[in-house]
Amino acid sequence: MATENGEGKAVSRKYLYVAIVPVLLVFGSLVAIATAPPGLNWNTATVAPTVIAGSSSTTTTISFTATGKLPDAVVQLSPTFAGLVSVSPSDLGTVRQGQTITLTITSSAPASSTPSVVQGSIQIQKKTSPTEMYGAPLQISLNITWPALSSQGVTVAYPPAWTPDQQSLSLGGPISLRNFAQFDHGGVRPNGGAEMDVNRSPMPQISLTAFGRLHRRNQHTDGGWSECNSRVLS
Amino acid sequence: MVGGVNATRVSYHDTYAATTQETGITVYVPLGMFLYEFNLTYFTGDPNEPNLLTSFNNLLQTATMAAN
Repeated sequence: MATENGEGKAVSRKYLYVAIVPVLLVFGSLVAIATAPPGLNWNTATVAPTVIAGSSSTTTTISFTATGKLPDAVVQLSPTFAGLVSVSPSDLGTVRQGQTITLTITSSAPASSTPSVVQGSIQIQKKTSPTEMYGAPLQISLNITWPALSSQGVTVAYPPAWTPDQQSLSLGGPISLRNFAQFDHGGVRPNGGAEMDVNRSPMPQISLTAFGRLHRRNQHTDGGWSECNSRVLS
Repeated sequence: MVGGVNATRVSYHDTYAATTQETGITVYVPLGMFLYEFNLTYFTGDPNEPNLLTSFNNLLQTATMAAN
């Protein structure tokens, strides 16, 4: 009998666990839902503005709709966007459930920028508790490009701090760029001056290395000399 | 590769006077009927040389050319 009573208690305890565990799971879920921060839905999955370095800024409009009340909401951008991207408005106050907020993203890049893609995100969070996020962040890919030029069948993007020779371009001539304002007396580049140019010619019937040596030699009419090295770019 | 085409890079130094030396880099890109030529020239020893080379290389990476 003692054994039967023991087995009976064990069976009763087993049924008790089976009954309690689901109740605890449901209760826990309800608590989690009640304490989770309210969310929001962005109107787009990603944002990818393009900006030309040294050029005027570009604006992109996005919006989100709150799925719950968002008290003291502010907009936060990734640190990678410092000096490149700003957002307006940034302080949203309290956003009501169902309210749609429109944000304007302004992007720019200094003339010293090189072509690149800067990754980051925009996030809505609680002003008084920055670790409390509202919803998921929205990914932003900022594409920084250079201005482009075309002439003689070739198109290149060039550093915006360099100046193209507009006269040559207007005549359909080669692309010629320089990093200084004007030549010194006698057409000499000033100290620190550099030039880049792009042109094309009919295909020569000799090797490119030989052509390069010959080409340089032909350009020398002042008795100067050249050392020449070459390699194939891979 | 420049614009998806194999290229030949040539570097040279020109001496015009005892104190004036020039560095040049030319990249030749043969494509179809044409030979495209990309040049960079600056004074040898320019402290800005790394930035000049970066700018030139970035320009090369963006280049697209017509074959005819």
